[in-house]
Amino acid sequence: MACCAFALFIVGQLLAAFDGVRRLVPFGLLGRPRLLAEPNPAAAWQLGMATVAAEPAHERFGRLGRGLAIAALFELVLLGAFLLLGSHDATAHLPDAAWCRRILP
Amino acid sequence: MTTMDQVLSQPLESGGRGPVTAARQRRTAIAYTAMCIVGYVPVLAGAPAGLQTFGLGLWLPGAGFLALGGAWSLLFPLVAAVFCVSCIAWFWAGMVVAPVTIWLGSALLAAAVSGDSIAASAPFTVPASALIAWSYFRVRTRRRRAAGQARFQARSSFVPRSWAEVRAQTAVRLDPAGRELSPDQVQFVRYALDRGLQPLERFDGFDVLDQFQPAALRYQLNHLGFALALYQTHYAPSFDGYLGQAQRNLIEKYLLRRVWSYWVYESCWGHLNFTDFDPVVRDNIMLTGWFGMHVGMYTMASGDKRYAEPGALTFRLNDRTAYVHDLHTIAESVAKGFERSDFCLFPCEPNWIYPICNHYGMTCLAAHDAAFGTSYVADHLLHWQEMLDREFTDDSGSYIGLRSEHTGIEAPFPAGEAGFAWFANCFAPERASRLWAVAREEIRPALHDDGSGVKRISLPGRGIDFGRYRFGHVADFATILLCAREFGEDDIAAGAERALELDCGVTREGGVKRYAVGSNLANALALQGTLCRTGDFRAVVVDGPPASVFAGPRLAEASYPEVLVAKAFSGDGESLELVLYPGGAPGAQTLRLSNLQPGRAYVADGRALVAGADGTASLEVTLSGRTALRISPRA
Repeated sequence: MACCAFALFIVGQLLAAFDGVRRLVPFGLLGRPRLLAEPNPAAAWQLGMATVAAEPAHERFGRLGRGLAIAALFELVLLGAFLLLGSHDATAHLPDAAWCRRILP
Repeated sequence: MTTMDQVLSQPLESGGRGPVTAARQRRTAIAYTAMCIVGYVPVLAGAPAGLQTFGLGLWLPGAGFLALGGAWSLLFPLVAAVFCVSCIAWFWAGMVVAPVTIWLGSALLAAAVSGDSIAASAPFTVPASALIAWSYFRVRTRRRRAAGQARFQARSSFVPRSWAEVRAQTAVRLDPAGRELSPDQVQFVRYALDRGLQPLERFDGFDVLDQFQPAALRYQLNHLGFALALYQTHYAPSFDGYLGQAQRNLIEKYLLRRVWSYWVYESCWGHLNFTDFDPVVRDNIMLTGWFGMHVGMYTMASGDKRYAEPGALTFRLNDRTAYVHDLHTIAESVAKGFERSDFCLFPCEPNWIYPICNHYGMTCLAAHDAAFGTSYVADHLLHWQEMLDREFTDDSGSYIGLRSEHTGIEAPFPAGEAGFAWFANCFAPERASRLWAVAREEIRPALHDDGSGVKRISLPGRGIDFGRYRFGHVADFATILLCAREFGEDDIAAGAERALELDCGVTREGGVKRYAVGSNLANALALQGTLCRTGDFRAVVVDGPPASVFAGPRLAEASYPEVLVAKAFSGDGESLELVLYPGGAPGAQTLRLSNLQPGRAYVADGRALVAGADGTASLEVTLSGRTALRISPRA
């Protein structure tokens, strides 16, 4: 539908790919794929009822934890690449690398 | 000759491309070739390494880093991945500048960090990489076309028979006088009424995610509006009251800046327009087409033409700036869009043309023609369909998902016939029945016994609910249900309803039915499917209710949710038939009637009633379960 068939296609591919990666990561660090779609608080809303309960705190922290896990994995990949390729001065070839050295250690 | 002269659309002759598409793709190819030639000149001329790196960077996104060689080459796949992300931003939010920025920016960055020379192999590896990428896409396209042609042959064998069956079953429609909501439908209609009857600025019960793509508030508002227009036209055409209020609230919520301000951003990064953010002037058929259709359906269902008044649909940006529109200017914008575009069909987000949104646009024009006697559809449909067939139809005979206006490139997404057919039925019923003739045969294999002797539909994979970007089949089942109902395909509709009941977390709490695992948008679609019967969607757009309901008595006011209306219908223009349910405990409720003949005596459920000078009267009724009453003139 929506005008956004291609968007859905891409999102679907990304979700499916992420789902596949999640299954490979041990200890559920990237979250565990849900077998059933989760209920939608928005759809539960009714006129005249109290506001639908906010997302539980442990859910929010769970998401934060997964975000940190992703970042940590990314750092590990970078570290691996560094160890594999060895250390060298990436700016050595620059005749005047002052602008670059200012931001590199 | 158009493909409507064929039983099934013929595969396109010019390599699967229409002439406008072919011209755009030629232009793209020429521009790319020129970039490559210009990019290679510094290599041939022995220019400084920075210039050579930048030049080779024009061949592919990130190829400049490939030219640097060594560890820098590792950035090539990274930039390529970022480029893919930028392409997503391009169609997700019309961010035309994103891929250009990444491509040229990466070439400049590579040039800035280049040393004294580029890698010795770079003059060969970069063109070779481009050749590999080109070959990969060419092979994929050829395979896709071959598969499409095989599918076309398979379809050709069943479409003539299937099309004849669809034509026969759509010829039979229900008697409008006999329409009444079931208790289950009453509970589901409350889902939409709850959302429509809250204060204008509140969006409780909506999914609030991004405002660019399918989960945007605007689509939820539109589909809730479509559902209530179906309810009014076919079940309660003589009811104004809270039903009218809910529909108007949905329309007026749409005018709030938070709903349409996505266009401010898309104008800037898509059109490079930083001053005029009028959402109705250029492109944006995802607003004009959908919203025009929504307001048009309300107008037809209710007979209320207030949104055709000048300024009735004003989009206010801030205290100083407002974009003044009404239903006429919105329909005119859609028609002009069709006239201006080389493709006839025109974009949603800057650059991307979606045939599905253009179906909403043509449906908007059909509703406007029906409501105001214009001839937009007659003036535009023939050319529109020719272009749809020539430029947006693949080898299997299906409409494609979308095409880039600037480059002519098609996105490889298999758009299904079921998604188009119920819109097409509003302005091209013959073509619509042909679309459904294809869809029904390809959906039917998904029908199977659910283990208890009842047929249900099962779909492969986990599906995606585009109303909140989560896995799930609610929207798929709902779309199949709606389309099957529109074309009188009762076994498929029943299978889709069964699947919704079994798989989608159906709940009935507080007298309201919903599918708990579905998005608000998917629930609205499912409600449309639940209410629809053969030809109902088309009837809302092009017919509206019978004239008798506007001549006869009307239910003007009732309390919500205390009084739930399953039927409000005047078949003879003099009397009114009501079927009501209590929303809570049984008890007495007061109704207000209007459009009575002033001073005339009526009989309501055995009691006498005299209309006031203004044609109104109050009536107290006791609701207990299904409560039917008839208000008719005293003999």
